[in-house]
Amino acid sequence: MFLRIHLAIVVCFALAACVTTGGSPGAASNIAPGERPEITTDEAGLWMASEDVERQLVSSGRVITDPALNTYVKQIICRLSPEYCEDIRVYIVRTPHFNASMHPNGFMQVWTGLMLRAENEAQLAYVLGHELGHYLRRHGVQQWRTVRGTASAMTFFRMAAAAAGAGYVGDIGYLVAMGALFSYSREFEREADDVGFDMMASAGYEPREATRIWQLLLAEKESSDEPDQFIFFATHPSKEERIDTLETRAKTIPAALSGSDTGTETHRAAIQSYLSEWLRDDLRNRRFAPSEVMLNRMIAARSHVPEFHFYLGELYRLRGDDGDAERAISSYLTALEMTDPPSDVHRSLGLVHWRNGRHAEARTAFENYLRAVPQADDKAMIESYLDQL
Amino acid sequence: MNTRAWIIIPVLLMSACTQYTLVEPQPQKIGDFYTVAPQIHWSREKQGAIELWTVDGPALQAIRFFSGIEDGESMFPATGADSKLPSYRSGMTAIEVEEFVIDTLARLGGTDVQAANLRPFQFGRTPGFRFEFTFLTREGLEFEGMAAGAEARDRLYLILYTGARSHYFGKHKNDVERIFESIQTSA
Repeated sequence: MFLRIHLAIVVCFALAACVTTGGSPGAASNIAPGERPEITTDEAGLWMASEDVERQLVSSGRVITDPALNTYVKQIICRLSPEYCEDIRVYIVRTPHFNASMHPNGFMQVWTGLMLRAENEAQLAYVLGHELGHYLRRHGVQQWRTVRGTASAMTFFRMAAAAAGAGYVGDIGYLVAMGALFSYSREFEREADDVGFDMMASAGYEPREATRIWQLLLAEKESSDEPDQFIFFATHPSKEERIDTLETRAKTIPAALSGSDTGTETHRAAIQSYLSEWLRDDLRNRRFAPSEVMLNRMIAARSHVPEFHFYLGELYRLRGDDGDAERAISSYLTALEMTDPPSDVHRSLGLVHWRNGRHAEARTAFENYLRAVPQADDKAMIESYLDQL
Repeated sequence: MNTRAWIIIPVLLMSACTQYTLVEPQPQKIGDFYTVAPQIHWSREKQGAIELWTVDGPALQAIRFFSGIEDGESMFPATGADSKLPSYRSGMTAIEVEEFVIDTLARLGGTDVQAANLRPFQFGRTPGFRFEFTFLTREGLEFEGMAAGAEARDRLYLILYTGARSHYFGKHKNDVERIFESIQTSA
């Protein structure tokens, strides 16, 4: 399925391996601000391959170009690493999974599933800092040189593809492959963790949020009957020990370096206009257990947001297990008690009532829907339902 | 060839060694429930329970006839990793079927999948529905689509037409409209 992009990358790697002369396995120095690799080096070949991937991502239709949202994420990058601010190109990719990735040439993907799940700017900053760590430490080229020393480009490709693409539906695998071509060693992951942690603390973010985002992601994973489908864990090997390490480190941050800024309100404001779209995207995964954990966590934090109750109701309506109809109705009714609930709540409420034989309640809900949205796109269909009720 | 991948890997579909047969402009039986009457020649490929017709190739435009999706089935055959494709539930309303189709397209890699204008439609003698939709492919290519369907015998009968917005969707849109109008269902 992903043959074309993979082949393109393999060819690029193979070319790079053949024509370049510089570079050797082992530790590399940090990349300097503004630095570009010499054209004759293997690192330049790696950058060329990454640029090809970047071009394909840009034309994919998945990149969110909203200036306000991009400015929000970019300012986090610049706050974390002012000296590299101009070197990093961030792309917000509409994909409902928790993930971010960094390419050696300075292009970073931030998936909307991560932005949705991060509770605040500090949590997002930790993940972005982790990815920046891979860039600053040149983990991509180091990984490439290590593997190239013992195997062919094709072997490297196969390893990356196996780590990245296996088991994911549709072009999620394609995006994963684009982002996770470099499935880093535990040593590199640990180093990136350290860099990310230091960056967020130095930038004045609350360092304990680094632990928190791992904990909430683990809670979702543990609820799932398909834990292998958690892309971030697949491409970022992680254990509970990582949480312990981060907790320990948080305690060691000197008070002078440790900020208390979580940026919670800033983050909420930045993603507010995307909440419905991203929650709907998440339900399309049909991974109900982790989505339920996520939505209940959101409701616990902000019970007054009608979208959270509505989409929890949508989850129950779509899942359709025993008792889910009542749970859906309860969630919809809660949403309707709040200010500015989505107008679709009425429609969904009508559907659940109708499916359960409560025709009078269904009729009322559909009428309320048409009252809330007089020019509804599906007005003719709703009117036909009212004729049947 | 994996039939579920028709949106996201059109290039591979084009190069696949598929066997096409000619569809004559005369009534054609789809499965055991309905017939349609095309007015132009199409090329036909059978993909399991799905019948695909195209003129310029499935990467550019195609009409797909689903001859009865049963309760618990997805639109396209599920393989291991695809087990979370949305499933059809008998008794779904048209709103839920639209959601089922749109969510499936999104799961298969369509971006910004949007449905519009859901309305009642007479699917032969069976009350059904119609709607239009749009999406972007992985490469960012804009596609349009239109759907008609109905539930009968506890199964979902569905016809989907998709094509690249640039030229190919419009090229045979009216031919597909006539196909929709020609639907005849058995008793």
